[in-house]
Amino acid sequence: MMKNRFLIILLSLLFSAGLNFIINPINTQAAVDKDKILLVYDSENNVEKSQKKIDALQRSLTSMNLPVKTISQDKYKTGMLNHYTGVITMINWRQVGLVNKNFIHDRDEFNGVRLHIGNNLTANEATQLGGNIKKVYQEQFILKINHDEQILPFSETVMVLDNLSDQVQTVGTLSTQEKDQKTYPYGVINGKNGYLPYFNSNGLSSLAAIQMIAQLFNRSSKNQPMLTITNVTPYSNLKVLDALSLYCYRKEIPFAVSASSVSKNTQMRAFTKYTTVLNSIQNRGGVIFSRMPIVGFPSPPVGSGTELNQIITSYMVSLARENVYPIGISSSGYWNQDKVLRNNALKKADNLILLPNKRVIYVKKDNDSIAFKKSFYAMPIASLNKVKLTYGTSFEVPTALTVSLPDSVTKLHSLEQEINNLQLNWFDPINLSTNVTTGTSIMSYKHGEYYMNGKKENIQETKNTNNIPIYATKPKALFSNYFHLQGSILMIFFAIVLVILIIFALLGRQIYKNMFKR
Amino acid sequence: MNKYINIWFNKFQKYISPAMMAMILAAMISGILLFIPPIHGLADNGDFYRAMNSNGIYRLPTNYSQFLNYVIPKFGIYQYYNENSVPVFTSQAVIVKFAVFLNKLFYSKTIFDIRFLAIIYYVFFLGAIYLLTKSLVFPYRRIRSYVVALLIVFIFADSSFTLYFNSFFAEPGMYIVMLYSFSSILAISRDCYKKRWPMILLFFGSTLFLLTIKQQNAPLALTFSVVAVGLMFLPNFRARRFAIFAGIVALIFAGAFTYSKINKEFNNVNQYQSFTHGVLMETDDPGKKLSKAGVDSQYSLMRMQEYYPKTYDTVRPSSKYVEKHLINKTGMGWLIKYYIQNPKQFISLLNVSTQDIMVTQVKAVGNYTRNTGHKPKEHVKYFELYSTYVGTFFPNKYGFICLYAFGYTIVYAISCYLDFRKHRYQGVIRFLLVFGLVTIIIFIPIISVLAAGEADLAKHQFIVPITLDLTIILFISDILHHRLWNTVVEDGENDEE
Repeated sequence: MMKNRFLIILLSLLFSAGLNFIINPINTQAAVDKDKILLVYDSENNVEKSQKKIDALQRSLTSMNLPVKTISQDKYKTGMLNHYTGVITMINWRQVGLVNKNFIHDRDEFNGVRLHIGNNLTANEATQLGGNIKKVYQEQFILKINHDEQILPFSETVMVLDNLSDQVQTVGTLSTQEKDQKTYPYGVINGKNGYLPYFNSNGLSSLAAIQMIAQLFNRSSKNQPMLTITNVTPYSNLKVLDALSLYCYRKEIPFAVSASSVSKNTQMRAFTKYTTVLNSIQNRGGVIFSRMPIVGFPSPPVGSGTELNQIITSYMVSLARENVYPIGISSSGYWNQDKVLRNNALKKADNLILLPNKRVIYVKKDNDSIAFKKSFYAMPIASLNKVKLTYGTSFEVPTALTVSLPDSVTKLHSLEQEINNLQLNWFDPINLSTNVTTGTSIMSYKHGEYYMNGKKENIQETKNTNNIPIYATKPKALFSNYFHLQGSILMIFFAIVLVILIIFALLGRQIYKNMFKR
Repeated sequence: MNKYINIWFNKFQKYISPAMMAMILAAMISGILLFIPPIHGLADNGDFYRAMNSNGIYRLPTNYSQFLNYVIPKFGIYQYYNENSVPVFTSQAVIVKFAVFLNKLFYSKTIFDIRFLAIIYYVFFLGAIYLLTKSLVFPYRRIRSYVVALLIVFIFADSSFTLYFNSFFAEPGMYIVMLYSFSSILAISRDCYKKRWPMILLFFGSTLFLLTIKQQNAPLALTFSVVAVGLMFLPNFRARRFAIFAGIVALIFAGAFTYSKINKEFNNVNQYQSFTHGVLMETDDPGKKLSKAGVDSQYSLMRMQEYYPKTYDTVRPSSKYVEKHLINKTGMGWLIKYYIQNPKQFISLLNVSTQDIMVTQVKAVGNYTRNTGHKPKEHVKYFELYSTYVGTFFPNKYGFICLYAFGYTIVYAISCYLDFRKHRYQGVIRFLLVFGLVTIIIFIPIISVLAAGEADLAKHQFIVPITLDLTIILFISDILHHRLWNTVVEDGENDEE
């Protein structure tokens, strides 16, 4: 008897677990979360705009599927490192550098992957890297990597490694501009230890740095860049958007669009006009990433998680109603560093484009980013102007090269020229397989087909549902109709009394005058 | 019995004038509300910083939010150099600075008690009640005069007005100087005081203050110039007419100056709100109307959006893109043209704007301090009968307001005509005063719809309920004292001699 009961319980447990697996098949985070990195920086050097560098580093790590916890050195407590498989030290302010002794001690003892970015390399670290420290003062270096080169901004002091042992791997070189050019390695990898003397959020140096970091963390892969049109909103010049997508279609350039939407007023014709253009983009081989909204200011909307959740759901539902199916989410990088923004928005999708931060307003910052199935590291095409790109150029992480949607036809033509001149093999989003989960529905994209809750959708059909005109007025109070009526009655009453009064006054005046006429 | 009452009344009237009675009652009623702990006031809706920061006051750190829910009685005073610039030009700064000075003198150099602000308002407010009552009933001391005095307390000492005193809003200053402007003119017309110049100075002084206290008051310069023209009709005044004329010029300059001080951001905020809460409201899908008026119809999707989004928004209204493609295209000229093409929508907007015109209670913020056992955002129910009553029952149509204004002007035009022919000035000055008030009642709703649509109506139209209250009390008092059309005080009728 007992045995039977036990069996039943066991079976039902197994069954429910299986059911759970069937119901929630997409649990991408759990799979990739096992490696976690701790990023420790010395200070947010505002003068040098180091937040931009931290953001770029965080985004690039996310695109390598690495979750990152970011802290300032003063927040580090002894033993913290034990929870991580890798540590990155970032020096933004040479004059401050690392002062937290606990961290330096724990880092020396640490046996996971260690990466140091920026100056202030300790002798211990240099030994681990297998080289000697050399300080180079007041130099403007030329960075060379994979046949590309770029002149870096002038720097006062750069620490480079010299006399490297044989087993040390290097990525790229830094050369001086003097006659007797001296050359130093850029990225240095010695087993689990790595060093980057210089990191920037843009240009060739960011590509080189990402390549080096990916190699160090063993996340290297070959990726074609995805052409991404950003700053697309319902208020953009839709004719230009339509023309640009048509241009890409004719040139057979696959592309993605990071498109904002509205959560209210979706019954208006203007919304249909916008979704019609987005729909034709889908039919021209483009895909839509839903751009996240801007966060309220000047005071951040604390406790707005539920509302954000509703807004994103409303975005997806209203777009799907008009036959537009976003395949992922695009947002500023910092959304992944904020608990409310991440949990209520980003987690709805498994494919992301993380754009550089513009205006940062945190709701609840926790600096505890997670990894996604695929997240594209976005950088403006313009930032690669000085880099020679070829059809063979590939990127170490999924990369979105962004162009901002122009607001006039003239600017459009020059942008078309720019795209045409780029000799790149573009990534085709048709290779993506994505899910967006909102409320009770799952929107999926597989092999270029769109599915809603598993049912294939035909995006060529136009589903124009907007013919309900809506009238907006200020919200009215209870009994307002009664007072409205009372107002009207009183007004008519007053009008009548006024007319009678005027008639009486005129009559009275006549009588008064007649009294003297006799 | 009647005899005793008569004797008692004669004694009472000898010692306590209607004005004195009104002042004493108002002092007691509002004094209890404002100063006896736990005090009452208005909580911060987020606007306090404008009056605080640049005048050396800051928020003491707390572990709870200091906004909306509860009145905060204590603030800090900056001890060192204050780096905050003045966000908006306002004469309110004078009051706040004076309050800080008193606070430092009598209470503390580091902690600011909001009641020091209230006490300044309170003293000036009582003076205003005195002058208002006196100018309305002078020279009578009949029972009906005391009735008017009671009505004045009932209307003007209403908590919905006096609660403002314990706050950093600019409204209380506006309220009090408006009472002064009105009563000083009335006092001049009725010769309440033998010397006229103090009242003339008071009129120009308080009006200048009124025009510079809030930027939306700038258009009132025209109204009060009309009122001031009445002073030209005073007798034996030819020599001093020039001074009056100079005063009028000063008023217009003050209005223009205040207007010019409206900064670009403030302008953009209003223009955006007037678009999203005005042009896009009270209509079906506004897309077609917009394209007809030369603005991209896509902007209809911005309906009811705020310039400073409270939670999330699609785009940042303060971004360069929106400024270039929307805000720069929808200036005042565009708005006027748009509403001329869409008169039906404009009238609906006006009706919405007058819907709650007499509601003076601030519903969005609490009236109690923390730890008094009251709920967050709870409202005082003390001495609010008048504002509750008119707030609910005052007819809510713009058309009614126009009719009211029209009828009211005609009634006072008659005495003006009669007095003008008999070379008396009382009726003429009173008519121009009434005419000025009527322009406020008619035009402020129009201006507020143009300036910000349906957004922040109560704030933009605060002057209208005060003006309406003043016209109501003037009318009642003139009826009771039989001088609506006949302004002459018969021999032996004067109780003040």
